[in-house]
Amino acid sequence: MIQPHRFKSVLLTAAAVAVLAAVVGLVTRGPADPVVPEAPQSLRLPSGRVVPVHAVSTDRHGQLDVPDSPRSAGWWRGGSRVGDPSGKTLLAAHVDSPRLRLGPFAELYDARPGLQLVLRSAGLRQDFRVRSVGVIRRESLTARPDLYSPSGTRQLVLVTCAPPYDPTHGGYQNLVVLVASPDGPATPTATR
Amino acid sequence: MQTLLPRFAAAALLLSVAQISLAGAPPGLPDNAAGSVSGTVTLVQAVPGGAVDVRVDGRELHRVAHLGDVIGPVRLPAGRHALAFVGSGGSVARATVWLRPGSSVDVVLHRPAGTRGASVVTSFPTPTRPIRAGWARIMVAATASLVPADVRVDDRVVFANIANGESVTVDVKAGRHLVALVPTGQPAPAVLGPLKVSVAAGTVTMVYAAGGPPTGAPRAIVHTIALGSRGGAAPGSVHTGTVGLARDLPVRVFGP
Repeated sequence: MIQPHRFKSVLLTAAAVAVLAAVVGLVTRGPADPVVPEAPQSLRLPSGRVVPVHAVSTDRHGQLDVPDSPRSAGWWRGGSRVGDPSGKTLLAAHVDSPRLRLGPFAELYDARPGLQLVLRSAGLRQDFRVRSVGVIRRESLTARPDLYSPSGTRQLVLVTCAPPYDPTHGGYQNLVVLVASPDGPATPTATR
Repeated sequence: MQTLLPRFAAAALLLSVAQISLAGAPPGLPDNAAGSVSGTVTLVQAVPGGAVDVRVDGRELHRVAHLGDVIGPVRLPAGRHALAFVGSGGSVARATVWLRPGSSVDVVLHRPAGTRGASVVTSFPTPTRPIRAGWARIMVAATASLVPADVRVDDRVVFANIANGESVTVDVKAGRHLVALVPTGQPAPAVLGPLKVSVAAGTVTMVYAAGGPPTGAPRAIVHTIALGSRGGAAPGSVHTGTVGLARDLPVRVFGP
């Protein structure tokens, strides 16, 4: 059994070790340290247009609750964050709206290989390069976990609606899917 | 069919204007990126023979809507919206909708009660209040030229002597149900149905009676909306467009 004075000394030693570890941590902290993943907050498209990003969920039927404005994108909160070492970050935005007309994600239709995308969170930035652009059926996302899963190769996936357009059957029938690969790991931004 | 076009054209002379107020929304609310101040509008064309163009806030939403067409749901910012159904002869039926944040409303172009007269526009707010697990909701609206009628669901009268432009809502167990409109006070013969309507749990199904004499028996226009609640399930689908502005844009496809 530990005597009271011995117990006090153990506590003091533990506190001293903790303080020392914190100081060493502050001094040696650098880009090589693992980053703490954060929810994405903005995306810079190849054109230079910056789109704010909001975390979104799915409804009971599995439909993503994309922001109403085509000038904002929704990030599926079940996917990877900025700074996660693997998995997909899925962002979706409306291609158009009655009031704002065509939105920034219409740019996906005309993307080229190698163009740069910049994903930012509160304190992190990760650069990506466009690898592919494809078209899938709107309802087929369930069968494509490779486009939203938080596991697997680290990728940024952007989706928006695509023709054909049939207003009597829910509007656009397809999705444009842009896949981009990271240039490197996420890095802290200067403001951190 | 042909007789309806002149009748619809007559609507232009009368300029049928419906002022529809869905209480609670102050005008001029801005669009909101987080999606909390918008609602959805579904437009239903329930007039036989009259092909119409549909406009929202002065912009064309859909060309050549025929009887039975259901356009939408279209997501719009909360607030005031001007809707117009424009006939081929230039006739116009208008409605002003106040859309509450998070609400859903059907705007229906339909025949009046009598066999004569201009087409009218009526809005039906979607009954989206919570529903118990395993149940579904059915709304039936009288939007046809009809004799005085009772609404029957599974042989039970749920609305006696329904009038043109009125609706009734019932909650039922998920599954198949029979919906009919019968002459008031009589069990049969039905003037609409009986329709076999299959409903899934957590959904609301709207049944609109359309047409009616002198262009034949009324028919039904049916559409369903999910009574959604937010969750974290894997995304199965993404609906990211509303007005078709990108319908003719080519997509440059490349890569693995």
